[in-house]
Amino acid sequence: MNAGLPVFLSISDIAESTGFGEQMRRFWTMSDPAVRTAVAGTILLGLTCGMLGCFVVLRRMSLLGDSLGHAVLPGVCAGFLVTQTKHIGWIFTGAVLSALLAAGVISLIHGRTRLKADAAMGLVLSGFYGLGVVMLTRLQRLPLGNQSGLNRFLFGQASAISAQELAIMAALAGLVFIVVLLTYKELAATCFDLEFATASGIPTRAIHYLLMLLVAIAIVISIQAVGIVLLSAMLIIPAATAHLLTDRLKVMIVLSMVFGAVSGVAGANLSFLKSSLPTGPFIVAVLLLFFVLAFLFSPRYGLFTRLYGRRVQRRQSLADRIIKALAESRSGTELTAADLAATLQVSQTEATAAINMLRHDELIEVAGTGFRLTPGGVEYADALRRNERLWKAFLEREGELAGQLFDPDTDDIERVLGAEMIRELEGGT
Amino acid sequence: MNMPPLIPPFDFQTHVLGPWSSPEIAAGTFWTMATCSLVAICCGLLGCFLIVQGLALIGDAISHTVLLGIVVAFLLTGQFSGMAMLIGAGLTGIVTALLIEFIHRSSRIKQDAAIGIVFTSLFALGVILLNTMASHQHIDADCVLFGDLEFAMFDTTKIFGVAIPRSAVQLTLVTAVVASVIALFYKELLVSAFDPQLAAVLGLKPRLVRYGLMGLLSLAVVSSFQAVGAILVVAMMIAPPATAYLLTDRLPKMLLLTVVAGVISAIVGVHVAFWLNAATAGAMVCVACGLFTLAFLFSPRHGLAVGALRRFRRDDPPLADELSVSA
Repeated sequence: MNAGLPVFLSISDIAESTGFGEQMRRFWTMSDPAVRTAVAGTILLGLTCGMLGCFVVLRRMSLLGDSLGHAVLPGVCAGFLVTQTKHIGWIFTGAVLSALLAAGVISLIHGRTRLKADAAMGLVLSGFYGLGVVMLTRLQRLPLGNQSGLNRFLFGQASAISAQELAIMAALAGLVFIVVLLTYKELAATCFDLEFATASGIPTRAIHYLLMLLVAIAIVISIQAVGIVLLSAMLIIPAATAHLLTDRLKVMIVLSMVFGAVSGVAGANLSFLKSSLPTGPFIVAVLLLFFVLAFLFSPRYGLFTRLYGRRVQRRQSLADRIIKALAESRSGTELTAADLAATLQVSQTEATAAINMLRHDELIEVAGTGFRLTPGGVEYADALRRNERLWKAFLEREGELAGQLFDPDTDDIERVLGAEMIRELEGGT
Repeated sequence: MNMPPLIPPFDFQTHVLGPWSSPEIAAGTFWTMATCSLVAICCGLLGCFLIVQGLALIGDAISHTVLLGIVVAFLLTGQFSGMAMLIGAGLTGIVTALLIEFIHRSSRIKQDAAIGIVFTSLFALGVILLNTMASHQHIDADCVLFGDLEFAMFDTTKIFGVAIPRSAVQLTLVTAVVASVIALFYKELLVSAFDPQLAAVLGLKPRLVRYGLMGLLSLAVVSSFQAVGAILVVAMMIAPPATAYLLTDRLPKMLLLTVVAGVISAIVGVHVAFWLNAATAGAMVCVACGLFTLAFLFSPRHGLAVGALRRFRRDDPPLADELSVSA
């Protein structure tokens, strides 16, 4: 099946007959130099792409990264043509040039026609890729030596990175790091408020093209291990995952780099388990795992976390209403759970959940068939009533200004309104 | 090293008349061209609606994720054709669109990043399944990337005693479905494409129309898959409609021009591929992008060169006046 993904000098070739445990041991002991270069290479690309990806995602240029990723194919083929071998220097040069050309053509088409940006990107992406496919198939049908190795650029093969290529990758990654460190302030400013950045004298256009250049270099670092087709995942997914976890750019960059590097190594490991499995898809699968976890369980922005928070809040406000209802009926008979549910117009399960919470906090207690307030509960009910009274007075006095502060669910009215305001309101009522 | 030249010398006799020299060769050429034209027509017609709505990259995403649908359908049914695959692909397309919207709506991730995340992940899962589970395959990584037109041409079926490639039959059906859906729901599609708010006010359900479009698109993609591969489908979805969009302002004319541009790309592309001995799909895409470049430069209303010429003409008269005065 993988006729298209041959591996030369690959560690995986030897691995054909050995089992899973054996392969894992070989990978993690790193006795094999090929494993060491593969791991170092994937860490490098994970760090670089993770860092640049943050700027790309925050500036909403994710799909530009995808277009540039696909657009390097003709450059790779042209670089191959120069020496007719897989001389990595020429291939890298060709790839950077063709990515930059693609970026230029996209802004030309977008700027000079009425086509929308996405159509311009799609056009350039597929046009360059089509040209690349013609060149690639043409090369494959020429009676040359080992040109079929070009195919590994499509889905990536971390185990095929050579020591010499690793040195070039490290140099390029170092360059990207230094440039980002030097221009961090400008890059960060253009991420969040482009107009403000322009107004404060930052050359935003120059920064835009600088970022394009850096992304092109990151793409070049990654094509070996991730492949052209899935390159954009390396830029987008770690950064998006980190974006779900934090609001601070520096933290986001660090997290994104960690995700990138960890998935890179994990992907290399998985693809190493069986002969000639492509690396790129496995890296993306690991990235996806991180993303799904963050998407669901991020402390701040996770889907489940927010749903759970909303439920807790709803239960809390229901509990407050139960306390009020019990306080009002204190003179009469105790209320049962069913009574409470009926008075407050909620389902019995919801009422029971809130009642259990209150009993756990020892604010209410069982009395006969129903419930009544404990001494603590009475105090709490008084506090609730006081809050309500203060809010009412506040709203009457402050008119429309109040809209900004009004928060009747707060536990700590002193903090929200300030002690002085409370004193005034108390004096007034 | 005795190597043939990279770009072989062009010879009219060999490269243009060659593919038509004998009945057998001509039949092969004809069906290749017909298949490519059908791909261009059904993708292009749907592409028109994507382009005007700014959904081009969702089309791109779907063309990638359909691979997952195909592989899953194969694992469930054991075959790479027929209803199961069409249904699998159609569902994947709609699921892709829904997932993108879900991620974008229910988190702080922007739409462009959501598209990037969904399509790379689903595509990667498809490739992994293809590599690990679907062991005796008719499609492989190469086919995914640039299609396998040569193989598709051998896979024929007899209709009225004529051997017709299966994919050509399937594409004909899908193109017919696409064309008739566009004809039947023309008003809905038109209004939803250009003014979604108006469409909602008129009770035309623009969201439903959009998901319908995504489903149709998946059918077109999966049928074109074997001929041109996952990524080049995008080109046939975007390049001919973009060309037409630069030439006209009216949707019916745009649809017509898209078909014309698509068919020209197919016919010229097949010959170029024959000449260069390269992948047909890639050559077809290059021709389609060449046509776009022509429209970009010379479109009567929006062309770059035409605009420059017009500016030049406008500058012309004062200059002429000056000359006449000095003379």
